[in-house]
Amino acid sequence: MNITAAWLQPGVAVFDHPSMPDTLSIPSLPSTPPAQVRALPLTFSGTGAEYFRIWIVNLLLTIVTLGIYSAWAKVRRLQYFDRNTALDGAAFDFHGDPVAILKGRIVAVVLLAAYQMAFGFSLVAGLAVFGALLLVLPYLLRGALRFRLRNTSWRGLPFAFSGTTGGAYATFVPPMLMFMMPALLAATMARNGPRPPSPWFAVFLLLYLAWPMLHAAVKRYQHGHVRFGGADSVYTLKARRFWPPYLMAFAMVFCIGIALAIIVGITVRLVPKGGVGMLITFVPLTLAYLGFLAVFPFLQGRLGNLVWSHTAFPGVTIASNMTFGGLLKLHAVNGVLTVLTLGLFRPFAAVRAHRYVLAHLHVSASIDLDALLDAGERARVNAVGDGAADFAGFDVSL
Amino acid sequence: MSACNSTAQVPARYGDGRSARRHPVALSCAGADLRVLGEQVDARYPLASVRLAEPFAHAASIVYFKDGTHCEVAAGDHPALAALLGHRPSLVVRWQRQWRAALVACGLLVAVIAAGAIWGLPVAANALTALLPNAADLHIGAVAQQAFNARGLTHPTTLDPVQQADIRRAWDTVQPARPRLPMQLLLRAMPGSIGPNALALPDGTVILNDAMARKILGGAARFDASRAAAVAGVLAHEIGHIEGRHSMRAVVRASLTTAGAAFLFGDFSAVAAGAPAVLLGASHSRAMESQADAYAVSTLRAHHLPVAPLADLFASMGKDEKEPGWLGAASGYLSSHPGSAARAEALRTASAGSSAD
Repeated sequence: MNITAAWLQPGVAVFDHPSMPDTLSIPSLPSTPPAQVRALPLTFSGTGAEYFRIWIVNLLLTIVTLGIYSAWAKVRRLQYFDRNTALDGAAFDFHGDPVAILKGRIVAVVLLAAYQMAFGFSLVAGLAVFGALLLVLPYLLRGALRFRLRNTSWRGLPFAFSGTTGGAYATFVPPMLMFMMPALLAATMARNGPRPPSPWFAVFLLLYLAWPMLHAAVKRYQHGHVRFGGADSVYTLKARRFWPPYLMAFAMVFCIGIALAIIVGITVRLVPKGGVGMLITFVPLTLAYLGFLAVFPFLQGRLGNLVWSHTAFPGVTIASNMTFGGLLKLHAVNGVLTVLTLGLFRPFAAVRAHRYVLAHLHVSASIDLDALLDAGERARVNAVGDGAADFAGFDVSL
Repeated sequence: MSACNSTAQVPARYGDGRSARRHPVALSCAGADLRVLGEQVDARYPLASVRLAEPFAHAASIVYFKDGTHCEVAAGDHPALAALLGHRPSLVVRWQRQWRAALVACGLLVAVIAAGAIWGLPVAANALTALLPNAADLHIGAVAQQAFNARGLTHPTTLDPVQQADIRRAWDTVQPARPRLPMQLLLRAMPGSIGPNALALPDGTVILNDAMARKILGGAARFDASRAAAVAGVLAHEIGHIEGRHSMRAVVRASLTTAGAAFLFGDFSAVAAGAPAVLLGASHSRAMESQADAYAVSTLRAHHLPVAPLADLFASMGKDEKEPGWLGAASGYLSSHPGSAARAEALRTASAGSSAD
């Protein structure tokens, strides 16, 4: 679960359609005098070629140091993307401490290893780790959001995250249950011997049906508690708006599945068995796989547009208008070239994705940005302590 | 840092870290200080206390001051700023800047990964395997046997008791003097498409299937000296796997490869992350088969048994073998083993050596 990646790193983030009636794009806001509203250009000055050199050196040093350097590599990567991203002519900046990231990564690796192995030891050990994760992870995820935002600044003012610990538990525990339940059920069933699935199985399947709601809650927690210049972000998206994109995605998967079943059924009957027949059956399978892959850019575009277009700050509005076609082309080119170059295209792909998202994100302000003040956030952060003593200073995103 | 001797004036925008307002200023040197001068700003900071953010080609440079304030300098003015501050980029930054150095990094990366896969992985796997208690071997072997039974892969042998006794005699002959684990031989019929096969489970169990026994018998009713030597060779090969703890090493190796590949490619593709374990696993398993062959040869020689029958057996199995290839669907004994013809040849060489001494 990479919660922080969705933040201010549009390469991974998701975005809305300009035609949405409730999109808070500026020209359609009649209540605001047009003279005061100013579009703030969002630009990216990085290049794939430059990032490639940073990336390859990062990768080499990370491997040679058995992963330890990855914390410094992450700082370098975030700095590259943040500092090359300028809003209204002023660059973002990232100043996270690599040591804090390294500590967070060690914690994450230990938790992951414990989760992977615990059920191998005993059911009790497994349940203990399961419970410990439920208890600890929401706290750590909130810490990661805080770390990412408080170490990001614009015009010298730091961002902050104001989500509460209680909010983190309410938001993250249900999806965690969903992700970890299969392992728990498998482990319990393995102990009890092969038996037909218990009724519990159905309960847990119901949880999956609620996923769009859970996802909406995660986005609300992330986007509704960003603090900048003394003001909190305003997030106005209703959770039910997540249903249509997910239902569409589900319909896409369903149709592809049906079409695949028909095509495979026909080929199996018509094509003789043997080498060539095997190869012919691979064609529809490959097409279906590519069709399934197209669901992700679809969701990324629809949900990303919705989420960003309903995120605003007092006097500052955001609109996102990524398109399915544009994202499909972006990811198709990125995927094909990454495979063809055995991975060497990845840094170029990351820059292309970042550029695409920024190009479709529109920020407008109706206030005097010079008047924004840091409402004591910095003093408070220093008082809490940003170093090792502060567990919340860990960055657990992998 | 000593006093700078640049007379340049670098335009910048100054922010106090408390307000978003940015003041147009000029940066210049004043003795050992950096002077920040604008309409509403006039500050001096010792050059030694000034920190410059890592420069990027097209991004604005940022200068941080001790009091939490900062300056943003346009990318085009970076050379003048660096001269003013007497800034020398770090080794990594200089490395990143040059294409040639980046390509060297690319080559080094490939070399490091290859070296890790070829040399590092077996060494690490062997070291980790040595840390595992024998209880792990016993557990995994028991689980494997349960799986065989549950899936109906093995049935009681249909060989006649005399033949069984012959095989057990060969088994007793090739038992190591001090086995790592107590070993047992199971004679089993394996139905379906499983051809002549023998396998070693990590817990010290060797399974020889009826098809393999019949293949060696070749229609004869009993195992004569030569056929008994072939059985002894096959069993010694499997014992070689157990003594060498090959299954556990393979398991540890596969785990390490998977972990390493996930570390490298996990965020891109599950296929890319899974494939190396399969590919490297196949090549390592061939190496282990060769080791087990060598163990079998030395065991046979130690007991003054001929190696030629085992070589003949592999050669005759090679005739049934299809052309090796990526999609080769050969199942059972041969698929995980080196080319039978090559093995037979290697064994013949060994047997020629043994008859010479």
